[in-house]
Amino acid sequence: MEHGSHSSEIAYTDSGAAHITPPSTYFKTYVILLVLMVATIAATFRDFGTVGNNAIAMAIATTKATLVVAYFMQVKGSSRLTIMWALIGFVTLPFMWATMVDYLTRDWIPHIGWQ
Amino acid sequence: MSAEAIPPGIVLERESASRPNYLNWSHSVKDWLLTTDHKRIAILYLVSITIMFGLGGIAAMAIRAELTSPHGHLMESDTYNKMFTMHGVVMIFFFLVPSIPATLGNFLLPLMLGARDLAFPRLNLLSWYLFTLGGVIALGAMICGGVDTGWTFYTPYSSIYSNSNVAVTLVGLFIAGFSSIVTGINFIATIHKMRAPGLTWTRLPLFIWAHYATSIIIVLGTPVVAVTLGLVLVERTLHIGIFDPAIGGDPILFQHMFWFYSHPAVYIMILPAMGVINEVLACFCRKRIFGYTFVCGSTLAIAVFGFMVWGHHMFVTGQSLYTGMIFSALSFIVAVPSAIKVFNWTATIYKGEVWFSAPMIYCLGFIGLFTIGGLTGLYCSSLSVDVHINMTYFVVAHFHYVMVGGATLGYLAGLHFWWPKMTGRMYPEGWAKVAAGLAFVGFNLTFFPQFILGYLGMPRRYHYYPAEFQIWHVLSTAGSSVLALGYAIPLVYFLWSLKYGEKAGPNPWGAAGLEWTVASPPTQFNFDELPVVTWEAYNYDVPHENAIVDHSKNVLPDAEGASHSAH
Amino acid sequence: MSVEAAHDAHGHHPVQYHQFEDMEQQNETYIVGMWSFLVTEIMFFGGLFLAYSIFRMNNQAIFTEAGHRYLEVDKGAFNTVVLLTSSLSMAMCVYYAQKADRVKQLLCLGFTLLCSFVFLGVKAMEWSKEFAEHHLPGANFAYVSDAHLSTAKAQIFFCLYFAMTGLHAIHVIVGILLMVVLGVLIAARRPGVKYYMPVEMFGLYWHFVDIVWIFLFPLFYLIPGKR
Ligand code: HEM
Ligand SMILES: [Cu+2]
Repeated sequence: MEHGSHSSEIAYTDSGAAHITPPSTYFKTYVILLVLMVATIAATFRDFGTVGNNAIAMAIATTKATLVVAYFMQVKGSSRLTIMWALIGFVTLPFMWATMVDYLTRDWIPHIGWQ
Repeated sequence: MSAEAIPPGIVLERESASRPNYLNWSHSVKDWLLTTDHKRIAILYLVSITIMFGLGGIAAMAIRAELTSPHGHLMESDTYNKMFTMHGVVMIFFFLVPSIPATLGNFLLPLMLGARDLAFPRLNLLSWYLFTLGGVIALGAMICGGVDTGWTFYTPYSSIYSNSNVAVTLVGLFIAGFSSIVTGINFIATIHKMRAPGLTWTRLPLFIWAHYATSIIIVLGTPVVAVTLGLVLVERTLHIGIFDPAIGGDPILFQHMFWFYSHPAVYIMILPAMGVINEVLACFCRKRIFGYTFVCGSTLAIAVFGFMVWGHHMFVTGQSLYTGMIFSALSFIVAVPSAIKVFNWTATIYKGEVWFSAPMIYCLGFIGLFTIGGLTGLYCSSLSVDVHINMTYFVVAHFHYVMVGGATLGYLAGLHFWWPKMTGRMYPEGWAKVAAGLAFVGFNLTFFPQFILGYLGMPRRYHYYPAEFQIWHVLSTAGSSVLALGYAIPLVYFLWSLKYGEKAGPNPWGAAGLEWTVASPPTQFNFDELPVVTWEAYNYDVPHENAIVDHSKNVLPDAEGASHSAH
Repeated sequence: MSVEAAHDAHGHHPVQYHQFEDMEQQNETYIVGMWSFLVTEIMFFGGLFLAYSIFRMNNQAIFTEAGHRYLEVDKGAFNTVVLLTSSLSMAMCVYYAQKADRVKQLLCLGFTLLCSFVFLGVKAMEWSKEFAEHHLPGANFAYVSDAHLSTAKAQIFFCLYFAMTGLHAIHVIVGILLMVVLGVLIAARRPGVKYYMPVEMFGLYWHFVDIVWIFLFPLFYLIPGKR
């Protein structure tokens, strides 16, 4: 299924099989990564508001990271187990950002009569 | 198969005696120190953490002795601060975190999974060396000079003002943190990939599930505390950093990052103990664990929710009120999966053929004490109540109920249960029951008064206190002596049993589980032929092939319920 | 019994370790092990990224000023290209390892090594400029803000900058050491690296280092927000 999509070969030296990603996939990924890098620089020189600019920059960075994980690190087309472990760190990390809630609500004042 | 049908262990014993096992096949010091055998590494860890437990215990006794008097006669304030810091650091980072995973887990994971070893045997050895190195560095710093920050290392005291050996201790902890990470990675890979054919996730012993969840927490949490302590180290040595308010930093951020690990870390300590309880309980109730899937689910739920409640340690330290509310609510949720487990254990005991062996007594102690510890955790999680009890002995009592009454009793239960497997010898059952009873009584006498003390307002980490608290402190110290005895006795009889204990045979408890199908002690590669698993975990309702006559001549009640002479 | 003896006993692939049943199991175990190690790396850097986010949120103005004025986008962009290129050549190195083409594999590894030196060289240039301008946090730190913003917070910015790029650079240096070892072993035709797995595992590490930079670059050099 997944493997077929980028015509991976199954070959192996001696024993055990490996999914070999064709070099063309690597080169395409590389080119897209470069384009995205230019895009992220270009975006910061235009004003979309602080939140907008940050959102764009982080969205592009996340896309780039996803490409690296999927193609360079060959996670796409590998076993579900590998996919799970490739994602688990990236998925858990944002939990830490719950800390931001603390800083964002520091100055809030309880409603009068609340205490 | 009934017990009489098998000649009492003789055949199996002769077989195992004639073959070299992991303990005796080659035993130069070099063979032990360079071993990659998970069983030997488990023994190395066992020795290390026993030493650590002893050191932490000595510090604890010093604290308790000091607190018998309201005027602090025995030591200076400074010494007292160093004592409780050493106690906390040693017990948490060097005893409880590695206790069950690194000894019992290391020993049993491959045996329970039907594998020859862990996935990465050399990393396993590395883990022990990192642990030892970190331990020597941190202990060196704490003994020669001392550290007075408390185990929590709150900034800016730890990073700027403290005049003690904080930096070196942090280096030690940093290194020890990596030993725990390495173990976690090893367990994850092992549990995923080294299971015997047929051993599906729903057939795994719950001990394995517990270690899986624990490893996930280790892998996700420990790096965060490592980087946090690393930043404190930099701030302390170079005076540049992000936690000291005098140079623009933010000490509350330290607390967030510290507790992001250290709350989940309490589950690193308790989950493996819960895993042990499942195994022991099933064996001595001769029943499948009630609600197996719910126990699996609650294990994972604890791992997940455990990462969302760290703010409950910061209700009164300047965290916003609204964040406090969220963390309070989430803390109540995390208690639910813990409660599910307690209900499941209770239901397992119900109508089981309970056999009050020593491990079972530890186990029952665990269930009761953990329940108290968990419920008082909810008191601490209630915002307004915590304003009153925060930084008092109430919190101290809460976490000792979960960590000593829970994790440590679980560890002892497991150690007794698998001791015959690890050494091939039985411990003296009578003495073990006495020790288990002493530990239970001593524990309650030590820590129950602390709930009262805390409620009355006795702050933690102080050694001068109003005279009216003295009676409770004296009670607590008295209890701690009983507790110490309860720990000392097993040390003696375990050592004694190595030489004089009765031969155990492969399966003295008639327990289910792959680890009981191999020789005791196991041979170097555990299994002669890799097993194929076709049965569920805890299949106590089918006759058990390896059930043999127990050492004390009490016949285990087997599946046919033929014999109840053990009662 | 040694590990070797165990192999003989089982009569398996020469690089198969005794605890595994077959190469497929061994390979996937290694990949899972490596990924769970990378998870720890993600969390390790994650703590620093969190600190960055919080200080940045509370001190947007000084972060923007310091970043925009003192970090050079062109150098950062150049280094991004260098690292992306090194990732490509590392991926190709794994490809040739899988094809068992030793010479091309060594060439790719060598090129990756070269890129990592270029990266560190550029980083060194940038750092020495910051040193010269007294931006190294500590007693000699000096910073004059146009908008009279807090010097202490500017110091926090540079603390984070040095901590995060420094930790990243340490990872690059570790990568260089590993590449040298791998290269030597491959060149010496050692049996342990005849199989592609060691190279593949190193590749995962190297791509991860690249991913960290992918986030560091916009967060420090671009500091998205009003220019
Ligand atoms: C049932 C779920 C639990 C809840 C809701 C809970 C809640 C809490 C809360 C709110 C505090 C902070 C009290 C304060 O500082 O004012 C606390 C402290 C603590 N808890 Fe728990 N807890 C739970 C289980 C556990 C377990 C299982 C362990 C360990 C095995 C543990 C170990 C600790 C420790 C060590 C502290 C004190 C940390 C310090 O030194 O300040 N808790 N707990
Ligand atoms: Cu907590």
